[in-house]
Formats: sequence, structure tokens, C-alpha cells
Amino acid sequence: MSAPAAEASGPPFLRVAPPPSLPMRHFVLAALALPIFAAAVALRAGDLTGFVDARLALGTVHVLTLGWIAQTILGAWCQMIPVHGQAPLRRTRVLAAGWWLFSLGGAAYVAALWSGWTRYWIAASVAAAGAILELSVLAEAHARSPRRDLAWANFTAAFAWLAALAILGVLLARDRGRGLIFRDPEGGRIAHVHLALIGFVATAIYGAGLRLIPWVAMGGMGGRRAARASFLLTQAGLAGLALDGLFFGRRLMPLWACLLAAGFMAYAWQLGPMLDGGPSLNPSLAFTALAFAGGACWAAMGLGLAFGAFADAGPARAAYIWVALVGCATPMILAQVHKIAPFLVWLSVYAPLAQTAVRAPSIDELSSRRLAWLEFLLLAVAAPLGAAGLWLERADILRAGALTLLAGGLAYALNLGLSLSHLTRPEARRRAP
Amino acid sequence: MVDEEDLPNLETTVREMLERWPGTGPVLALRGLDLCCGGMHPVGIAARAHGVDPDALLAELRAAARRA
Repeated sequence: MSAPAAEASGPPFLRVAPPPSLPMRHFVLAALALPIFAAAVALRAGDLTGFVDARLALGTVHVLTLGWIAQTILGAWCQMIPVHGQAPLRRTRVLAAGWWLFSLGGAAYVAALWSGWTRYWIAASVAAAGAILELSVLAEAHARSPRRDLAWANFTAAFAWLAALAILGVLLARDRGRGLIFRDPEGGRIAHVHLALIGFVATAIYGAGLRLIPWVAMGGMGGRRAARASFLLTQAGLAGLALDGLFFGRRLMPLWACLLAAGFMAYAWQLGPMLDGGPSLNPSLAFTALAFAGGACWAAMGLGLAFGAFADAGPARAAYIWVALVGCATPMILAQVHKIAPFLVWLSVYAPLAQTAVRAPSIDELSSRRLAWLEFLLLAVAAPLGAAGLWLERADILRAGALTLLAGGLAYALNLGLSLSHLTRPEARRRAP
Repeated sequence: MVDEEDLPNLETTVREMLERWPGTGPVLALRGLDLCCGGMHPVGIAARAHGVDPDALLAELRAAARRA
């Protein structure tokens, strides 16, 4: 039997909300993964510049992609899909089981890569099974949603790409570059990386942004045509790139890079009205701006690689991936989690006190704005430093970037801990069943 | 003349507020109220979550809705 939604008899917005522990467990694990990634890069910077140790690099990247980015996106989906879509999750225990499998499988996969265990594809399969289990619950609710807007279309595409990514990842892990499954293993890896970076991460973030960014800035998002164009260009570019990489010898990479860059520009175009007004600058808005700056660098580097403006080799590719993950996806995630996590804690602990005389703290009091600004500043330094270190193959610069990212990640974990500490307060314990 | 029944109240959700009365957006934005997590929460609860007096906020929202 599945666990019921948080408040079956509460107000409408709580009837569709999942138990707060579902998104929160994703956010907590993600907050641990980011500092682990940064610490690993700082410790082994010499081996990571130029991908001297490919397995170390692969394991380290997956700490970030599986541990930080995928966990946060899945956690946000646990909240957004039922609440935004007005369709409660039906099998929350299955989703929780999927989270355990995904988390343990992901950790085992990284440990196997780092330790040199050759059958790491077994752990990859466990992680993929967990992800697919989680997705099946989320997708079922998503399919029932009466709200079929462009964000819904983006989420649908991200679901499909993530499933394709998981399957391709397992096949690549099984193939281990031997060319047994894919004749062009390099093309397979390029397809895999872009299914992850663009198909899952960017498409999910585009979708979430369509619903959350206007509310961060309150400027409104203009140009539905631009949003539709962004969706179509991005999906066409990614499908072309993946098929070209897997089956057609990477012949039209400049075309796919142009389509993807155009998709990003169309998406960014919608943000213009936000500049006309809205609230004073706050950490979430600053993180959003940082993410778009990082996205512009990412798109420019993609075009440069595709058109041969600079050597399409390990250092430039590593910098490209760093910019995508640390320079673009990470600040966008921080922008959104800084809104979502304190809100969920407040809703869980203090919303029931709203009708009483007891004074409840506001959402802003559940976390530290100063710490959030510190996270922003550290990330704004870490992103370019790390990219420069990888591109120039300078371990000292990469280490400096990683240590800065580590400080930012620890500040974020501390800030999240401040919010979560409210769950242990007497008000929360009184509500415990 | 705006029908008083066609104005927001404390049970109106933040999302509905912005969809039906877009002119209330700046009022909400100035107090840090947004559509986080879907905006399915009533304005009254959102106001308390942000440490804002719900009745004073409602008065401002209604004024903004009338102007729109």
C-alpha cells in the first residue's frame, strides 16, 4: 500500500503535495555530493587535468551528475510534478525504493570506478534501475496532469531523454570502449554526455524555469513563441546530435551545435521583461543570472568545439563539461532549491500554526541570506577558475577552483541544514504521527 | 465599478492571484511572495510565511486589482 499524500484533508495545495521527506531526502544527499565532488577534484587535480586517469575522471563527474544534479532535479520533480501538475503521486513507497536503489547504485558505481573494479556496469545498472523506478512514479503522475503547458512538454522530453540516457549509460559501461555495441565509442560517449547535459539537465531546468523563474523575478516571461522555438530547437538539436554521434559518424556536429545554441538564445530572450522591473536583487535571482551567464559560455564553447575554433581534445572538452555542470546547471539548481527547501520546511512545520496565536518564523528566517550570498560569490569564482584550470591543464588553478567550490558547497550544506533543523523543533514533533 | 466579490481574498491562491489579477504581481514581489512550489498556497498562508500582515497585504492586493 502506498503512503498517503501529506495532508489528505488539508487545503487543496497540500492534498496534492507529497510527504516533505520525499523531496528533502534528494536535497540532503545532493548537498553532501557537491562538497564530495569538489573535495575529490581538489585532492586529485593533477590526475584530472587532461583526463590522465580516465576512471578517476569518470567517477568524479558522476558524483556531480548522479549525486548533485540528478538528485536535486528528481527531488524538485517530486514536489513540482504533483503540485504544479495538480496530480498527486500514487506510489510514494515505490518512489522511495527507487531513491534508495538510485543512491546506493550511484555510490557503488563511483566507488567501483575509483577502486578499479571492472564490473562497474553492475552498479550502473542498479542506479539506472532506481532512476527508472523513480521516473515511473513521477511519469505516471505527470501523465495525469491536466496542466499541459510548455513546461509539461519540457518535463516529458526530459523524462524520455533520461530513460534513454540510463539505457545508453548501461550499454556504454558494458561496452567499455571496445566497440562491441557501438562502432564509434567516442560518438557514443558524446551522445551520452549530451543526453545528460541537455536532454535531462537543461531540458528539466528549462521546464522548471518556465514555471519558477517568472516568480523569482516577478517580471513575467514574454514571448510564448520564443519559448516554443527554444523547445523545438533544443530537442531537434539534441536528437540530431545523439543520432549522429551514435550511428552516423558525427558528420553534422556544427549544425546540431547551432540548433542548440539557438535554443538557448531563444530561451534567454524570454528573460528580457524581467530586467524591466521586479524585486530587488536577491540570492535566487543572482544565481539565475549567473546560470544564464554560464549557459552563454557553455553554448559559445559548444560552437567553438563543433566548428573547430579550438582543438576538440580532452582539455577543452573537460572545460566544456565543467562550464555546463558547475557554471550553468549548479547556479540554476541553487536558485531554485533556495526557494523550494525553506518553503517545504515552513509548510511542514509552521503552516499549521498560521491560524493560531503562536508566532511562527517567516521563510526568510529559516535560512541565512548572508550564507546564500557567500555561496553565490564562491560559485561565481569557482566556475571560471575550474574551467580555466581544466582547459589550460593547470592543476593549481583547477585545485583553487575546486577548493572555492568546496567552500561554496559547504556553505550551501550549512544553509540547508539551518532550514532542516526546524524539522526537529517541538512544533514539528507535535505534528508527528 | 468593480464587483467586490470579484476581488481577491485570503483564500485565493498565489497562482490564481497572478493569473486573474496580473497587476498584483508587483505588490507580491515587493514582499517576496512568489509561486514557489506551484503557487497553490493561499495568499493568507503565503503572507504569514513571509512575515507579512495578511490583512494589510489583502488591502493592497485589492487596491491593485481594482486599478487593473
